[in-house]
Amino acid sequence: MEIGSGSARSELVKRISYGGYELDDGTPVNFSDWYTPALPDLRAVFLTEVADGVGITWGLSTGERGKKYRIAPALHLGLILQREVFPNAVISLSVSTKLGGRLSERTCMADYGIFGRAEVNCRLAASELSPEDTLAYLLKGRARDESRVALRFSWRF
Amino acid sequence: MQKTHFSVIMVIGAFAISSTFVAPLHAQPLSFATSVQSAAGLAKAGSAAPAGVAKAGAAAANAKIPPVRRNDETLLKFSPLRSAKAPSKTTSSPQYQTWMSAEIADAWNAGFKGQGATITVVDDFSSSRFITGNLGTGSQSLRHGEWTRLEASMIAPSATMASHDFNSGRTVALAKTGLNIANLSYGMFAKSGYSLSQISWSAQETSLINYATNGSAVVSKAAGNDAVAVGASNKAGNTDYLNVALVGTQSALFVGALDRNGTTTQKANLASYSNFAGSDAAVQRQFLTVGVRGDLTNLYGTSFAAPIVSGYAAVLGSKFTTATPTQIANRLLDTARTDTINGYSASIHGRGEASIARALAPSSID
Repeated sequence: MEIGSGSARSELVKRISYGGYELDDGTPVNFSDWYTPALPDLRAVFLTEVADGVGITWGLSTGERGKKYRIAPALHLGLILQREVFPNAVISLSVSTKLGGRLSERTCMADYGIFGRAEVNCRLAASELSPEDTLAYLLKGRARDESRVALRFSWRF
Repeated sequence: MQKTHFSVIMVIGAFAISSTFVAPLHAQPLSFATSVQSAAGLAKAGSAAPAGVAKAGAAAANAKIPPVRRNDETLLKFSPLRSAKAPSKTTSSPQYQTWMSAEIADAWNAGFKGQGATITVVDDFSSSRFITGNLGTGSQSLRHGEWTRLEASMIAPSATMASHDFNSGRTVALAKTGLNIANLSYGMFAKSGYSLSQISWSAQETSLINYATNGSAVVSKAAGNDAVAVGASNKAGNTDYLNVALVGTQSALFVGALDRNGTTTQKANLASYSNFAGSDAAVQRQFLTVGVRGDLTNLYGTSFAAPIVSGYAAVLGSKFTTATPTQIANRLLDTARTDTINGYSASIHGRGEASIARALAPSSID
Protein backbone atom coordinates (compact mmCIF):
# COMPACT_ATOMS: atom_id res chain seq x y z
CA MET A 1 0.00 0.00 0.00
CA GLU A 2 2.67 2.46 0.98
CA ILE A 3 6.43 2.60 1.31
CA GLY A 4 8.04 5.88 2.30
CA SER A 5 10.12 7.81 4.76
CA GLY A 6 9.55 10.51 7.33
CA SER A 7 6.78 11.46 9.70
CA ALA A 8 5.49 14.54 11.44
CA ARG A 9 7.98 13.84 14.20
CA SER A 10 10.94 13.56 11.86
CA GLU A 11 9.80 16.74 10.09
CA LEU A 12 9.82 18.53 13.42
CA VAL A 13 13.36 17.38 14.07
CA LYS A 14 14.40 18.38 10.58
CA ARG A 15 13.12 21.90 11.11
CA ILE A 16 15.14 22.46 14.24
CA SER A 17 18.28 21.04 12.65
CA TYR A 18 18.78 24.27 10.71
CA GLY A 19 19.58 26.34 13.81
CA GLY A 20 22.70 26.92 15.84
CA TYR A 21 24.63 29.34 18.03
CA GLU A 22 28.16 30.16 19.08
CA LEU A 23 30.00 29.13 22.19
CA ASP A 24 31.60 31.84 24.29
CA ASP A 25 34.82 31.59 22.33
CA GLY A 26 33.03 31.89 19.01
CA THR A 27 33.08 28.22 18.13
CA PRO A 28 29.94 27.52 16.09
CA VAL A 29 27.47 24.92 17.28
CA ASN A 30 25.36 23.59 14.42
CA PHE A 31 22.22 21.75 15.31
CA SER A 32 22.55 19.67 12.19
CA ASP A 33 25.35 17.79 13.94
CA TRP A 34 22.90 16.70 16.59
CA TYR A 35 19.61 16.42 14.75
CA THR A 36 20.44 14.74 11.46
CA PRO A 37 19.70 11.00 11.38
CA ALA A 38 22.06 8.47 9.90
CA LEU A 39 19.01 6.77 8.37
CA PRO A 40 15.57 8.35 8.00
CA ASP A 41 12.42 6.93 9.50
CA LEU A 42 11.36 4.33 6.90
CA ARG A 43 7.90 2.84 6.83
CA ALA A 44 6.05 0.11 4.99
CA VAL A 45 2.28 -0.15 5.35
CA PHE A 46 0.11 -2.84 3.77
CA LEU A 47 -3.60 -3.29 3.18
CA THR A 48 -5.31 -6.59 3.76
CA GLU A 49 -8.97 -7.07 2.77
CA VAL A 50 -10.75 -9.04 5.45
CA ALA A 51 -14.30 -8.83 4.08
CA ASP A 52 -16.19 -7.14 1.28
CA GLY A 53 -15.66 -3.43 1.85
CA VAL A 54 -13.57 -3.95 4.97
CA GLY A 55 -9.79 -3.83 5.14
CA ILE A 56 -7.10 -3.42 7.70
CA THR A 57 -3.82 -1.58 7.27
CA TRP A 58 -0.75 -2.70 9.06
CA GLY A 59 2.92 -2.00 8.86
CA LEU A 60 6.06 -0.89 10.58
CA SER A 61 8.32 2.15 10.66
CA THR A 62 11.95 1.85 11.60
CA GLY A 63 12.29 5.00 13.64
CA GLU A 64 15.41 7.12 13.45
CA ARG A 65 18.03 8.52 15.69
CA GLY A 66 20.48 11.37 15.76
CA LYS A 67 23.06 12.30 18.32
CA LYS A 68 20.56 14.13 20.50
CA TYR A 69 17.20 12.54 19.72
CA ARG A 70 15.48 9.29 18.96
CA ILE A 71 12.27 8.30 17.24
CA ALA A 72 11.36 4.78 18.30
CA PRO A 73 10.06 2.19 15.80
CA ALA A 74 6.30 2.14 15.45
CA LEU A 75 3.58 -0.32 14.57
CA HIS A 76 1.02 1.11 12.13
CA LEU A 77 -2.54 -0.15 12.36
CA GLY A 78 -5.70 0.95 10.64
CA LEU A 79 -9.18 0.05 9.49
CA ILE A 80 -10.87 0.98 6.23
CA LEU A 81 -14.61 0.66 5.56
CA GLN A 82 -15.87 1.23 2.04
CA ARG A 83 -19.37 1.15 0.55
CA GLU A 84 -20.87 2.05 -2.78
CA VAL A 85 -23.78 4.36 -2.01
CA PHE A 86 -25.02 4.56 -5.61
CA PRO A 87 -23.51 3.71 -8.96
CA ASN A 88 -20.00 5.14 -9.32
CA ALA A 89 -20.21 6.77 -5.88
CA VAL A 90 -18.13 5.40 -3.03
CA ILE A 91 -17.91 6.51 0.54
CA SER A 92 -15.06 5.32 2.70
CA LEU A 93 -14.06 5.74 6.31
CA SER A 94 -10.49 5.12 7.38
CA VAL A 95 -8.99 5.15 10.83
CA SER A 96 -5.27 4.73 11.45
CA THR A 97 -2.98 4.95 14.43
CA LYS A 98 0.56 4.12 15.41
CA LEU A 99 1.83 2.30 18.43
CA GLY A 100 5.27 3.20 19.71
CA GLY A 101 7.25 5.71 17.69
CA ARG A 102 7.94 8.01 20.60
CA LEU A 103 10.13 11.05 19.89
CA SER A 104 12.52 11.88 22.71
CA GLU A 105 15.34 14.38 22.95
CA ARG A 106 18.49 13.92 24.93
CA THR A 107 19.93 16.62 27.15
CA CYS A 108 23.39 18.14 27.03
CA MET A 109 25.83 19.15 29.72
CA ALA A 110 26.76 22.78 29.25
CA ASP A 111 29.71 24.45 30.90
CA TYR A 112 28.98 28.10 31.66
CA GLY A 113 32.41 28.89 33.00
CA ILE A 114 32.21 30.58 36.34
CA PHE A 115 28.51 29.70 36.63
CA GLY A 116 29.39 26.02 36.50
CA ARG A 117 28.05 23.05 34.55
CA ALA A 118 24.39 22.36 34.08
CA GLU A 119 22.13 19.89 32.33
CA VAL A 120 20.37 21.76 29.56
CA ASN A 121 18.29 21.47 26.48
CA CYS A 122 21.04 21.38 23.84
CA ARG A 123 19.19 23.74 21.53
CA LEU A 124 18.39 26.32 24.18
CA ALA A 125 21.71 26.44 26.01
CA ALA A 126 22.40 29.93 24.67
CA SER A 127 18.81 31.11 24.91
CA GLU A 128 17.09 33.40 27.35
CA LEU A 129 16.10 30.62 29.64
CA SER A 130 18.00 29.73 32.73
CA PRO A 131 19.73 26.39 32.21
CA GLU A 132 17.27 24.45 34.34
CA ASP A 133 14.28 26.03 32.65
CA THR A 134 15.43 24.85 29.22
CA LEU A 135 14.64 21.28 30.22
CA ALA A 136 10.93 21.99 30.07
CA TYR A 137 11.24 22.44 26.32
CA LEU A 138 12.75 19.11 25.35
CA LEU A 139 11.09 17.63 22.31
CA LYS A 140 8.48 15.03 23.12
CA GLY A 141 6.19 13.47 20.59
CA ARG A 142 3.94 10.44 20.46
CA ALA A 143 3.26 8.66 17.24
CA ARG A 144 -0.34 8.13 18.23
CA ASP A 145 -0.79 11.89 18.01
CA GLU A 146 -0.53 11.34 14.28
CA SER A 147 -3.64 9.14 14.32
CA ARG A 148 -6.08 9.98 11.58
CA VAL A 149 -9.74 9.57 10.88
CA ALA A 150 -10.77 10.29 7.30
CA LEU A 151 -14.12 10.21 5.56
CA ARG A 152 -14.02 10.27 1.79
CA PHE A 153 -16.69 10.44 -0.83
CA SER A 154 -15.93 9.93 -4.50
CA TRP A 155 -18.26 10.02 -7.47
CA ARG A 156 -17.16 9.27 -10.98
CA PHE A 157 -19.23 10.90 -13.70
CA MET B 1 35.43 59.07 72.10
CA GLN B 2 35.57 57.25 68.80
CA LYS B 3 32.17 58.57 67.84
CA THR B 4 33.27 62.15 68.35
CA HIS B 5 36.36 61.61 66.29
CA PHE B 6 34.26 60.16 63.44
CA SER B 7 31.93 63.14 63.47
CA VAL B 8 34.80 65.58 63.19
CA ILE B 9 36.17 63.78 60.15
CA MET B 10 32.82 63.84 58.49
CA VAL B 11 32.44 67.55 59.02
CA ILE B 12 35.88 68.20 57.65
CA GLY B 13 35.06 66.12 54.66
CA ALA B 14 31.76 67.79 54.08
CA PHE B 15 33.00 71.34 54.14
CA ALA B 16 36.19 70.57 52.34
CA ILE B 17 34.19 69.34 49.39
CA SER B 18 32.73 72.75 48.88
CA SER B 19 35.80 74.73 49.61
CA THR B 20 39.38 73.87 50.30
CA PHE B 21 39.99 71.12 47.80
CA VAL B 22 37.46 71.83 45.16
CA ALA B 23 38.14 75.32 44.03
CA PRO B 24 41.65 74.87 42.65
CA LEU B 25 40.79 71.83 40.59
CA HIS B 26 39.76 71.57 37.01
CA ALA B 27 36.77 69.51 36.09
CA GLN B 28 37.46 66.01 34.88
CA PRO B 29 34.20 64.98 33.27
CA LEU B 30 33.70 61.35 32.45
CA SER B 31 31.38 62.45 29.73
CA PHE B 32 31.18 65.36 27.43
CA ALA B 33 29.05 66.57 24.62
CA THR B 34 29.48 69.11 21.92
CA SER B 35 26.87 71.33 23.49
CA VAL B 36 26.18 71.84 27.14
CA GLN B 37 23.41 73.98 28.46
CA SER B 38 24.15 75.94 31.58
CA ALA B 39 27.30 75.69 33.56
CA ALA B 40 25.90 76.58 36.91
CA GLY B 41 27.35 75.22 40.06
CA LEU B 42 30.75 76.78 40.28
CA ALA B 43 29.47 79.56 42.44
CA LYS B 44 29.65 77.63 45.66
CA ALA B 45 33.06 76.27 44.96
CA GLY B 46 34.74 79.44 45.94
CA SER B 47 32.64 80.22 48.95
CA ALA B 48 34.55 80.69 52.12
CA ALA B 49 34.86 77.76 54.42
CA PRO B 50 34.83 78.08 58.17
CA ALA B 51 38.33 78.78 59.34
CA GLY B 52 38.55 75.71 61.46
CA VAL B 53 37.56 73.50 58.64
CA ALA B 54 40.01 75.00 56.23
CA LYS B 55 42.75 74.40 58.71
CA ALA B 56 41.75 70.87 59.24
CA GLY B 57 41.65 70.20 55.56
CA ALA B 58 44.98 71.72 54.78
CA ALA B 59 46.77 70.64 57.88
CA ALA B 60 49.06 67.78 58.63
CA ALA B 61 50.12 65.21 56.10
CA ASN B 62 48.29 62.57 58.07
CA ALA B 63 44.96 64.30 57.74
CA LYS B 64 42.20 62.49 55.93
CA ILE B 65 41.81 63.93 52.46
CA PRO B 66 38.39 63.99 50.93
CA PRO B 67 38.30 63.29 47.23
CA VAL B 68 36.70 66.31 45.83
CA ARG B 69 35.48 66.20 42.34
CA ARG B 70 32.96 64.05 40.70
CA ASN B 71 32.35 64.05 37.05
CA ASP B 72 31.40 67.57 36.27
CA GLU B 73 31.30 71.07 37.57
CA THR B 74 27.78 70.82 38.81
CA LEU B 75 28.99 68.67 41.64
CA LEU B 76 30.74 71.56 43.25
CA LYS B 77 27.39 72.53 44.59
CA PHE B 78 27.04 70.90 47.96
CA SER B 79 23.40 70.03 47.88
CA PRO B 80 21.20 69.27 50.81
CA LEU B 81 20.39 65.62 51.28
CA ARG B 82 18.10 64.43 48.62
CA SER B 83 16.09 61.29 48.46
CA ALA B 84 16.77 58.85 45.71
CA LYS B 85 13.96 58.57 43.28
CA ALA B 86 11.67 55.67 43.72
CA PRO B 87 12.70 52.65 41.70
CA SER B 88 10.94 52.39 38.41
CA LYS B 89 10.68 49.62 35.92
CA THR B 90 10.88 50.29 32.23
CA THR B 91 8.12 48.42 30.54
CA SER B 92 8.29 49.64 26.97
CA SER B 93 9.40 47.15 24.40
CA PRO B 94 13.06 47.47 23.51
CA GLN B 95 14.13 49.22 20.36
CA TYR B 96 17.47 48.60 18.75
CA GLN B 97 19.44 51.77 18.08
CA THR B 98 22.42 52.10 15.82
CA TRP B 99 24.71 53.08 18.69
CA MET B 100 24.14 49.70 20.30
CA SER B 101 25.96 46.49 19.61
CA ALA B 102 23.92 44.26 17.33
CA GLU B 103 24.34 41.53 19.91
CA ILE B 104 21.95 43.21 22.29
CA ALA B 105 19.08 42.98 19.84
CA ASP B 106 19.75 39.25 19.56
CA ALA B 107 19.68 39.01 23.32
CA TRP B 108 16.34 40.79 23.50
CA ASN B 109 14.91 38.59 20.80
CA ALA B 110 15.93 35.65 22.88
CA GLY B 111 14.15 37.19 25.84
CA PHE B 112 17.04 38.61 27.89
CA LYS B 113 15.99 42.06 28.98
CA GLY B 114 17.39 42.40 32.44
CA GLN B 115 14.38 41.17 34.33
CA GLY B 116 15.07 40.48 37.99
CA ALA B 117 18.01 42.88 38.19
CA THR B 118 18.19 46.35 39.68
CA ILE B 119 20.51 48.96 38.21
CA THR B 120 21.19 51.78 40.63
CA VAL B 121 22.55 54.77 38.78
CA VAL B 122 24.63 56.95 41.07
CA ASP B 123 24.90 60.21 39.23
CA ASP B 124 23.75 63.80 38.91
CA PHE B 125 19.99 64.03 39.05
CA SER B 126 19.61 67.47 40.57
CA SER B 127 21.95 70.00 38.99
CA SER B 128 20.92 72.61 36.48
CA ARG B 129 23.41 71.41 33.95
CA PHE B 130 21.94 69.75 30.91
CA ILE B 131 23.52 67.92 28.04
CA THR B 132 21.94 67.75 24.63
CA GLY B 133 22.05 64.37 22.99
CA ASN B 134 20.02 61.80 21.15
CA LEU B 135 19.99 58.11 21.99
CA GLY B 136 17.64 57.46 19.12
CA THR B 137 14.54 58.62 20.95
CA GLY B 138 14.78 62.20 19.76
CA SER B 139 17.03 65.08 20.70
CA GLN B 140 16.78 65.93 24.38
CA SER B 141 18.53 68.00 27.00
CA LEU B 142 18.93 65.95 30.13
CA ARG B 143 21.08 65.91 33.22
CA HIS B 144 24.09 63.65 33.17
CA GLY B 145 22.43 61.05 35.37
CA GLU B 146 19.25 61.13 33.37
CA TRP B 147 21.26 60.26 30.29
CA THR B 148 23.18 57.41 31.88
CA ARG B 149 20.01 56.04 33.43
CA LEU B 150 18.20 56.21 30.12
CA GLU B 151 21.05 54.50 28.34
CA ALA B 152 21.23 51.63 30.84
CA SER B 153 17.47 51.20 30.69
CA MET B 154 17.60 50.99 26.91
CA ILE B 155 20.11 48.16 27.10
CA ALA B 156 18.24 46.29 29.84
CA PRO B 157 14.62 47.38 29.36
CA SER B 158 13.16 44.99 31.89
CA ALA B 159 15.59 45.83 34.66
CA THR B 160 14.41 47.90 37.59
CA MET B 161 16.09 51.28 37.45
CA ALA B 162 16.92 53.18 40.63
CA SER B 163 18.45 56.63 40.84
CA HIS B 164 20.76 57.90 43.55
CA ASP B 165 21.74 61.54 43.39
CA PHE B 166 25.45 61.65 44.03
CA ASN B 167 25.15 65.10 45.52
CA SER B 168 23.55 63.46 48.52
CA GLY B 169 26.63 61.70 49.80
CA ARG B 170 24.37 59.20 51.45
CA THR B 171 24.78 55.46 51.57
CA VAL B 172 23.67 53.90 48.31
CA ALA B 173 20.88 51.46 49.00
CA LEU B 174 20.66 48.17 47.16
CA ALA B 175 17.60 46.17 46.28
CA LYS B 176 16.90 43.45 48.80
CA THR B 177 16.33 40.77 46.20
CA GLY B 178 17.76 39.97 42.82
CA LEU B 179 20.98 41.04 41.19
CA ASN B 180 22.26 44.49 42.08
CA ILE B 181 24.28 46.63 39.71
CA ALA B 182 25.65 50.07 40.53
CA ASN B 183 26.51 52.35 37.64
CA LEU B 184 29.18 54.91 38.41
CA SER B 185 29.73 57.29 35.53
CA TYR B 186 31.72 59.71 37.63
CA GLY B 187 35.08 60.05 39.28
CA MET B 188 36.29 61.37 42.61
CA PHE B 189 39.31 63.51 41.96
CA ALA B 190 41.92 65.04 44.20
CA LYS B 191 45.53 65.99 43.77
CA SER B 192 47.68 63.00 43.01
CA GLY B 193 49.99 61.57 45.60
CA TYR B 194 47.70 60.60 48.42
CA SER B 195 47.39 57.08 49.67
CA LEU B 196 43.95 55.54 50.02
CA SER B 197 44.33 55.60 53.79
CA GLN B 198 44.41 59.37 53.56
CA ILE B 199 41.11 59.57 51.76
CA SER B 200 38.02 60.24 53.82
CA TRP B 201 35.14 58.88 51.83
CA SER B 202 31.57 59.92 52.24
CA ALA B 203 29.02 57.31 53.20
CA GLN B 204 28.09 57.17 49.55
CA GLU B 205 31.45 56.13 48.18
CA THR B 206 32.17 54.01 51.25
CA SER B 207 29.07 51.99 50.53
CA LEU B 208 29.95 51.58 46.87
CA ILE B 209 33.51 50.51 47.59
CA ASN B 210 32.19 48.04 50.15
CA TYR B 211 29.74 46.61 47.62
CA ALA B 212 32.57 46.03 45.18
CA THR B 213 34.84 44.65 47.88
CA ASN B 214 32.37 42.20 49.34
CA GLY B 215 30.75 41.39 46.00
CA SER B 216 27.22 42.48 46.82
CA ALA B 217 26.78 44.46 43.60
CA VAL B 218 28.33 44.61 40.19
CA VAL B 219 29.97 48.03 40.17
CA SER B 220 30.34 49.35 36.64
CA LYS B 221 32.76 52.25 36.81
CA ALA B 222 33.53 54.58 33.95
CA ALA B 223 37.29 54.40 33.44
CA GLY B 224 37.71 58.11 32.84
CA ASN B 225 38.43 60.44 29.97
CA ASP B 226 41.96 61.61 30.56
CA ALA B 227 43.62 59.14 28.21
CA VAL B 228 45.75 57.86 31.08
CA ALA B 229 45.96 54.50 32.81
CA VAL B 230 43.28 53.80 35.40
CA GLY B 231 44.54 55.12 38.73
CA ALA B 232 47.20 57.33 37.18
CA SER B 233 47.51 61.08 37.48
CA ASN B 234 46.02 63.12 34.69
CA LYS B 235 47.66 66.09 33.01
CA ALA B 236 46.28 68.42 35.64
CA GLY B 237 47.93 66.38 38.38
CA ASN B 238 44.72 64.89 39.69
CA THR B 239 43.81 61.28 40.28
CA ASP B 240 40.42 59.58 40.32
CA TYR B 241 40.65 58.00 43.75
CA LEU B 242 37.42 56.11 43.28
CA ASN B 243 39.17 54.20 40.53
CA VAL B 244 42.11 53.57 42.82
CA ALA B 245 39.84 52.31 45.58
CA LEU B 246 38.09 49.87 43.28
CA VAL B 247 41.23 48.20 41.95
CA GLY B 248 41.36 44.59 43.06
CA THR B 249 37.81 44.49 44.38
CA GLN B 250 35.86 41.40 43.45
CA SER B 251 32.88 42.79 41.56
CA ALA B 252 34.01 46.13 40.10
CA LEU B 253 34.52 46.62 36.39
CA PHE B 254 36.37 49.50 34.78
CA VAL B 255 34.77 50.39 31.49
CA GLY B 256 36.69 52.11 28.73
CA ALA B 257 35.31 53.41 25.47
CA LEU B 258 35.92 52.15 21.96
CA ASP B 259 35.20 54.30 18.95
CA ARG B 260 32.70 51.76 17.63
CA ASN B 261 31.17 48.38 18.31
CA GLY B 262 33.87 46.16 16.91
CA THR B 263 33.47 43.24 14.58
CA THR B 264 36.07 40.91 13.17
CA THR B 265 35.93 42.75 9.87
CA GLN B 266 35.55 46.27 11.25
CA LYS B 267 37.66 46.33 14.34
CA ALA B 268 37.35 49.03 16.97
CA ASN B 269 39.99 51.32 18.45
CA LEU B 270 40.12 52.74 21.94
CA ALA B 271 38.51 56.17 21.86
CA SER B 272 41.11 58.91 21.95
CA TYR B 273 39.86 60.25 25.26
CA SER B 274 39.37 56.97 27.07
CA ASN B 275 41.49 55.92 29.99
CA PHE B 276 43.13 52.58 29.45
CA ALA B 277 44.07 49.62 31.61
CA GLY B 278 47.77 50.36 32.02
CA SER B 279 50.45 48.05 33.29
CA ASP B 280 48.79 47.05 36.56
CA ALA B 281 47.71 43.44 36.12
CA ALA B 282 44.92 43.91 38.67
CA VAL B 283 43.40 46.70 36.61
CA GLN B 284 43.83 44.73 33.39
CA ARG B 285 41.82 41.89 34.92
CA GLN B 286 38.93 44.26 35.67
CA PHE B 287 38.99 46.37 32.52
CA LEU B 288 36.39 46.05 29.76
CA THR B 289 35.60 48.15 26.75
CA VAL B 290 32.45 48.85 24.75
CA GLY B 291 31.67 51.02 21.75
CA VAL B 292 30.53 54.58 22.49
CA ARG B 293 29.06 56.18 19.40
CA GLY B 294 29.20 59.82 20.28
CA ASP B 295 29.20 60.56 16.58
CA LEU B 296 25.61 59.30 16.53
CA THR B 297 24.39 60.42 19.94
CA ASN B 298 26.48 63.50 20.73
CA LEU B 299 27.25 61.78 24.02
CA TYR B 300 30.93 61.05 24.34
CA GLY B 301 32.94 59.69 27.20
CA THR B 302 33.32 56.62 29.29
CA SER B 303 30.27 57.85 31.22
CA PHE B 304 28.32 56.34 28.37
CA ALA B 305 30.37 53.15 28.30
CA ALA B 306 29.64 52.13 31.88
CA PRO B 307 25.81 52.05 31.47
CA ILE B 308 26.16 49.65 28.56
CA VAL B 309 28.06 47.24 30.76
CA SER B 310 25.56 47.80 33.56
CA GLY B 311 22.84 46.83 31.13
CA TYR B 312 24.79 43.79 30.00
CA ALA B 313 25.19 42.69 33.61
CA ALA B 314 21.43 42.95 34.12
CA VAL B 315 20.72 41.05 30.92
CA LEU B 316 23.16 38.34 31.96
CA GLY B 317 21.55 38.20 35.38
CA SER B 318 18.17 37.59 33.79
CA LYS B 319 19.44 34.25 32.58
CA PHE B 320 21.65 33.20 35.46
CA THR B 321 19.19 34.11 38.14
CA THR B 322 21.15 32.67 41.02
CA ALA B 323 24.53 34.06 40.01
CA THR B 324 26.35 36.38 42.37
CA PRO B 325 27.47 39.86 41.30
CA THR B 326 31.05 38.64 41.33
CA GLN B 327 30.17 35.78 38.99
CA ILE B 328 28.32 38.15 36.67
CA ALA B 329 31.26 40.55 36.59
CA ASN B 330 33.74 37.76 35.97
CA ARG B 331 31.61 36.24 33.26
CA LEU B 332 31.58 39.53 31.36
CA LEU B 333 35.34 39.72 31.77
CA ASP B 334 36.00 36.10 30.84
CA THR B 335 33.97 36.29 27.65
CA ALA B 336 35.20 39.65 26.38
CA ARG B 337 36.39 39.55 22.79
CA THR B 338 39.84 40.52 21.66
CA ASP B 339 39.35 39.72 17.97
CA THR B 340 37.11 42.76 17.43
CA ILE B 341 39.73 45.24 18.58
CA ASN B 342 42.43 46.73 16.42
CA GLY B 343 45.84 45.93 17.89
CA TYR B 344 44.45 44.40 21.05
CA SER B 345 46.71 44.80 24.05
CA ALA B 346 45.89 43.95 27.66
CA SER B 347 47.62 47.12 28.82
CA ILE B 348 45.27 49.19 26.70
CA HIS B 349 42.05 47.23 26.37
CA GLY B 350 42.22 45.05 29.47
CA ARG B 351 40.16 41.94 28.83
CA GLY B 352 38.74 43.25 25.55
CA GLU B 353 35.33 44.23 24.24
CA ALA B 354 32.34 43.08 26.26
CA SER B 355 30.19 40.60 24.37
CA ILE B 356 26.76 39.91 25.78
CA ALA B 357 26.16 37.13 23.27
CA ARG B 358 29.25 35.27 24.40
CA ALA B 359 28.56 35.86 28.05
CA LEU B 360 25.17 34.20 27.63
CA ALA B 361 26.50 31.25 25.66
CA PRO B 362 28.06 28.16 27.15
CA SER B 363 31.82 27.64 27.08
CA SER B 364 31.34 24.08 25.95
CA ILE B 365 28.50 21.68 25.43
CA ASP B 366 28.27 17.99 24.86
